[in-house]
Amino acid sequence: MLTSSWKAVSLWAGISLAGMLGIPAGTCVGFQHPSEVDATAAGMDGVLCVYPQQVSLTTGRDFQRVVGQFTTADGITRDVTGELSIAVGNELVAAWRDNRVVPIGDGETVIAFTYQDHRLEVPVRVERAAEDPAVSFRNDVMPVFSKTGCNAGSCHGAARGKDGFRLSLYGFDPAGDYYRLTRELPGRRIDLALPDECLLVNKATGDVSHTGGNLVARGDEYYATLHRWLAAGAPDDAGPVPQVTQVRVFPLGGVLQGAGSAQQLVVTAHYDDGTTRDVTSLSYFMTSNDNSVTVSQTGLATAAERGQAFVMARFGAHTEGVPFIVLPRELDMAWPELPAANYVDQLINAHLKKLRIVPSDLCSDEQFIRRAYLDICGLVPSPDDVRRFLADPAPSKRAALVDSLLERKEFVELWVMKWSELLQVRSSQQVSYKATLLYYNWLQQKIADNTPIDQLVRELLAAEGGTFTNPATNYFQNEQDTLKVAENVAQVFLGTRIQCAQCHNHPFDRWTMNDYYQFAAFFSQIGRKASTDPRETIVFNRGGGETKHPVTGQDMRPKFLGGPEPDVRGRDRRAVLGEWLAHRDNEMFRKNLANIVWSHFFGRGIVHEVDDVRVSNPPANPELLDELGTRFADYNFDFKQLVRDLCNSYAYQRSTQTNASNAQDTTNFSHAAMRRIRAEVLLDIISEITETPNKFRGLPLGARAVQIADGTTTNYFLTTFGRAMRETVCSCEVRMEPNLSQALHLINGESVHRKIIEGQVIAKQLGEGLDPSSIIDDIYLRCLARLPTPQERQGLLAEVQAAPDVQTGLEDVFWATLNSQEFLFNH
Amino acid sequence: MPWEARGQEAQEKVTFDDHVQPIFRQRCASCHNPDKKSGGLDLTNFTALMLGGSSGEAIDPGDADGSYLYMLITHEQEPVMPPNSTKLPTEELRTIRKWINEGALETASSKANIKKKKTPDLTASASPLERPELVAYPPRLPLEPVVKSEQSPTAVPLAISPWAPVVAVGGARQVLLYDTNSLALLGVLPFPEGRPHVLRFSRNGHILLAGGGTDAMLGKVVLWDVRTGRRVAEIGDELDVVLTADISSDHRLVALGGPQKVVRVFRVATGELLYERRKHTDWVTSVSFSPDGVLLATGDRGGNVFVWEAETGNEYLTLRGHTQLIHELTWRLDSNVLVSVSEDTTLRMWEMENGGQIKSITGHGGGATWGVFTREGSFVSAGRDHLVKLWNSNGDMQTQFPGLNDVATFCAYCNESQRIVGGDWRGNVLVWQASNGELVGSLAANPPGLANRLELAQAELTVSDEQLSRAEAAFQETNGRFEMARQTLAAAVDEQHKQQAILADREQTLQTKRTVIETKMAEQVAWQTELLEKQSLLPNLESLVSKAKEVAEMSNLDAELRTAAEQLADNRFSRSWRCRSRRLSNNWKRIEAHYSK
Repeated sequence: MLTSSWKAVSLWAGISLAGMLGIPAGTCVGFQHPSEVDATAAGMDGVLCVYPQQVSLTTGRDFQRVVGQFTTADGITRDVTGELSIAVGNELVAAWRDNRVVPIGDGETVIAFTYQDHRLEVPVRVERAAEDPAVSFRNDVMPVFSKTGCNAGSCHGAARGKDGFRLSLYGFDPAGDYYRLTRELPGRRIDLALPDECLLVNKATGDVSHTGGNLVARGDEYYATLHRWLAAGAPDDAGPVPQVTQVRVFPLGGVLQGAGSAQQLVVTAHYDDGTTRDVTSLSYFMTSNDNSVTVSQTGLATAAERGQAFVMARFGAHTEGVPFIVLPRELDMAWPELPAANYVDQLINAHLKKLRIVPSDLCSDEQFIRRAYLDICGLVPSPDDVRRFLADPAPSKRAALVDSLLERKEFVELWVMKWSELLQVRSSQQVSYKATLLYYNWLQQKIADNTPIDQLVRELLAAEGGTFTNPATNYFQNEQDTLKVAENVAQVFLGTRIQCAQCHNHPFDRWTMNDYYQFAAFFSQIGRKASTDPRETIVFNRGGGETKHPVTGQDMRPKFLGGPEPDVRGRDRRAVLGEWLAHRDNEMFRKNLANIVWSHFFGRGIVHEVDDVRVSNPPANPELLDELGTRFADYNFDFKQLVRDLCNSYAYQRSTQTNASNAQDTTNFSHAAMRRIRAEVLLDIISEITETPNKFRGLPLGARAVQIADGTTTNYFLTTFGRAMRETVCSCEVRMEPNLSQALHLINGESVHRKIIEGQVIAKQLGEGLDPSSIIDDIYLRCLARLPTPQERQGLLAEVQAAPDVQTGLEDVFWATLNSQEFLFNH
Repeated sequence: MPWEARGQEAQEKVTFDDHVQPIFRQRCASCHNPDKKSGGLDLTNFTALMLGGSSGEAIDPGDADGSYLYMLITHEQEPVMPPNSTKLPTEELRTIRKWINEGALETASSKANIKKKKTPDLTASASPLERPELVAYPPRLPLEPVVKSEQSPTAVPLAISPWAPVVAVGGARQVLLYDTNSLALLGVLPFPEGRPHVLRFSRNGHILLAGGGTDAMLGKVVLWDVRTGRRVAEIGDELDVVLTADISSDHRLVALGGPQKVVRVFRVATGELLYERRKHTDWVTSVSFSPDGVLLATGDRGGNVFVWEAETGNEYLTLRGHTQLIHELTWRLDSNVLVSVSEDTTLRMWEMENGGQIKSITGHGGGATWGVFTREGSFVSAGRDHLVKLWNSNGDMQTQFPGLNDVATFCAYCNESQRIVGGDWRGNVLVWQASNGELVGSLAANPPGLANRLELAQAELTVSDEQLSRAEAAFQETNGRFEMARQTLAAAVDEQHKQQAILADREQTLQTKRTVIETKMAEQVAWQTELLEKQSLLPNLESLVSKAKEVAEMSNLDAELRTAAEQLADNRFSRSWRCRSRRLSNNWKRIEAHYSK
């Protein structure tokens, strides 16, 4: 099938058709980018789809499996392949055998598929039917190794091979694999005299002991391929073979109801010579969540527990996936009408509806003010702020609060800190303390000036000059390895980790070694030289230097990651890259930035982790991420506007309390997430509450931990609570998970107890003549932004009265509150 | 000891000193004495007898039928003993037989030491440099291949007997023996264990060793007696294939190695494990006993080479330098130099005093895969560059042997026929003349079955017949043409003869004519002279005539006189005279014309 003809593939037309027929718009859930016309047949009761929409068979060995999917009015999909009745138009061209279209003679015809009263015609074209193509090592034999897992990382694909035999990981080095299989140890692995008894076959069939077990059976398709190759004399490919340009998985998704309901998948590969091939049996199937959907190696996806999963097929260097949703068999399909504050709510609610998850109610004002302060400014509201907010009767007081917080300098400081992590602002052997401070100041200035992020990134990537005179050049100082710089840029700005592709094609993503080294080529011409000040380095464009492919040894031409090859002649390659990368049209860039912002406010990225965008880690809500990216670009990458959208949404304002339908949900934003407060903010709010100033290197007494410029500046508290050292760009450097040493430090360590003593907050209030009850109220408002419940107050007063003296009693209450879960978490 | 045995012991023992020595002294000692020691064997005293000769142990206590000496004196095997004479008297043979079977006691007080053996004794003590008295050449063996495969087996191992023009070629579940001179198939030795990975002839050429098996399942070493084609021992029971193995020159030890990374050394006689060494950290890919049997060199897939004391397994040397798989270790026949052949492209020569590297040769681009020393100290190697190369003892390349079209995986040198055999990954086996690199022929690693060969031969015969008849027809035709040509020739010859005769005739005629001319010329001269004379006489005659006339006139009376005078006058101008003169002058002119032509 020609690639262009594939434009016609989608369920979406069917969906809109279904919409007209009164079928809810969300029936064909999760189907990706469904903007094209589909071969669908709609009836009163649903929509029939048959995949693929066109069949093109080349040579007598070709065949194509076909799968039929029926979407019912309430959005549930069923695999009806076995129930289709089939009529081949011209039996001299093609035939239908074993659920496959097989070639008979050259020509064109149509096959009609009928299910109940739905009928669809699929055009079939057959070429070179009389030809029996020779077996190809790269396109026939190697896929067997990938399918059966021989070249996986845990087997012979390991860097040093397994049990004395190595294959390249997922087949990134076909020539090397051919050599090792045939001639590395002459006479050992294959013997052409007895092809059915040579080691390769005996191991694969498990006829001799094989750590990897029995992977093929004598007589099956894989065995036949191996046998055919051996019987032909184990030839290498004579010249270049057709390359896979695209892999498609059908159907485009599914909503399975009830454990055990299943959907067969079909995978087709498109080659650069215009041919297509059914590679279902040569694809390796994976699922992102086998708790919900399991997938067999024959491509049968089977529903298990309620939830969603992304089912993927890998063929060659390509991994593609389709989303599946599993609903319980007995499900109340009644759906409440959900209000939406803005587009965020619309998209989230639409997604939740597909999942039949009812979101939680909105949180209380007390919870909201604390949440907003912490998320937007890294502060807790003062007791007065809380009282004022609670007393405010205005219905739009939450939006007003968000607006006011966005204008505070702490908002800028918080984002400077986050960017400092991404840009690795830290002093080191390569970056002097002075340069670090200059770098930090540059960043702070840019963000305080509300410089659009795309502009900032362009300036950063193309930065030239001294690390003092143009502090942005420090970006190329802490990491000087060309490949690592490329990896960091991809991870920070595009949110994708390409490291794997340094040594082999990425097993779970689309990046090949070519992609990796062509991207790295943008950074191969960075020059560094000493300045008059030994602490300063001058970064410049050398105008020469290439990266080489480690297997082929060729110079790699710069090519945008997943984009075209630009003309870089006579230009600084980094500047060329910056223009493409930090551009509003760059979907990866804008979605990545939007996701980073989202993640800060919701505690989890739409793609999670935020810097791990890959085919096999799809976004939880692709439409939402698309929309956020587009909006962010439309706002000219103005953070404040995006944050306003997020914080004003009902999705952000939901309670952490769950209901029956969303208790298990952690990924679809149906309720607020409990988040431990990050190290800097936690220290800052403890200091704020206890009224004790901190002193950090290079900052005045009383400065906040958020303001620390240098990643290496830290203290015991910050380290324990997982402050990023900024040694890498990984989002995992900021450790958010609670652990025992944190709890012990709060209970026994100096931070809380000493600060309570030092700050004299209780003593001052007692001195002002406040009674213990008011002081307890104040403690609650300070720490938790709420008043204690009567029971809490009563219990605490009893404790205070039981104490040796009132101050000690109240300090104990203060201490206990600061150690409470409610304080440590943003909820 | 059981009661019966005790009873037997009471009988008279046959001993060397009392019974056998006298027979040997009488029958054998003229050659097998301490001075002459024919075949390295001395039969005059017990100790010397038990040491055996150059063909190995002479007798096998407890097994007369298996004793080499007994087989020769009973004329069961060549060379019969005593040579050129009849067998020993039956009584004496019986005595010797009894003596051997009872354990070959020296004296009545000796204890029988009969070895319990799994396999026949194969030991040999001949020097590797010395031609064995008996050169092992296979007897008539089955020629039907065990496996007839469509494609040739991959990378077939090769080995050539050091003393006979016999090459062993590994195949699928079999070993094929070919004659290096005639390139004819000599026999098929079945190897049902699987695939042979290594083949070696023992130093005296009597034993053929094959190491191999079924990959990842079974590994074994099999020994055949080349003289009989019989399988004489099976050694080892590995869980993966045997990749390499060797037999010591005295046939006492067999070493083997493979993917299990262990070197194991076995006693051939009993099949028991003598020792094993686990120093190798990767697959053991080559083991090789020194020709003197003192050392054992082993190499692995990682390029490590160790040298051990063969008998004890004590570590002797570590040869450092190779970085990749060691395909083969081959010894110079004096056991002083070892050449290691490695995937890292080099062939390295090592001395065995301190393990120093003498020379490193970049032998084959892409990797060297095999090497073997010749008797003269030169060596042959094969490699991934598709070539087999001959090197002199200094490591200088002498000749390249092209023609293989894949990785050259094995090579062997035939000292007897001075030919080199090389094989490639595809299983092609080619034979070259060592001296000039001329390609002599090829050997099939997957020969067709007998029936097939018969069919093929039949087909060939038919084809030949056709060709013959065609050739005959052509011959006939040619012959006919030849006959015609011959006749034509004869005719031509005849014609020539005729022409010659005509020519001769003409010449003769010419000669005759010339003679005639000469005669005529002489005549003419004579006539002219005569004429001149006559002319000179003419005036006189005229005057005479006139005088006669006058006389006659004067004397009319005398009529007679007058007639005479008139006749005289007439004769002077007679016709005959004139005619003759004209003819002569004409002839003359003709002759002149002839010559001027």
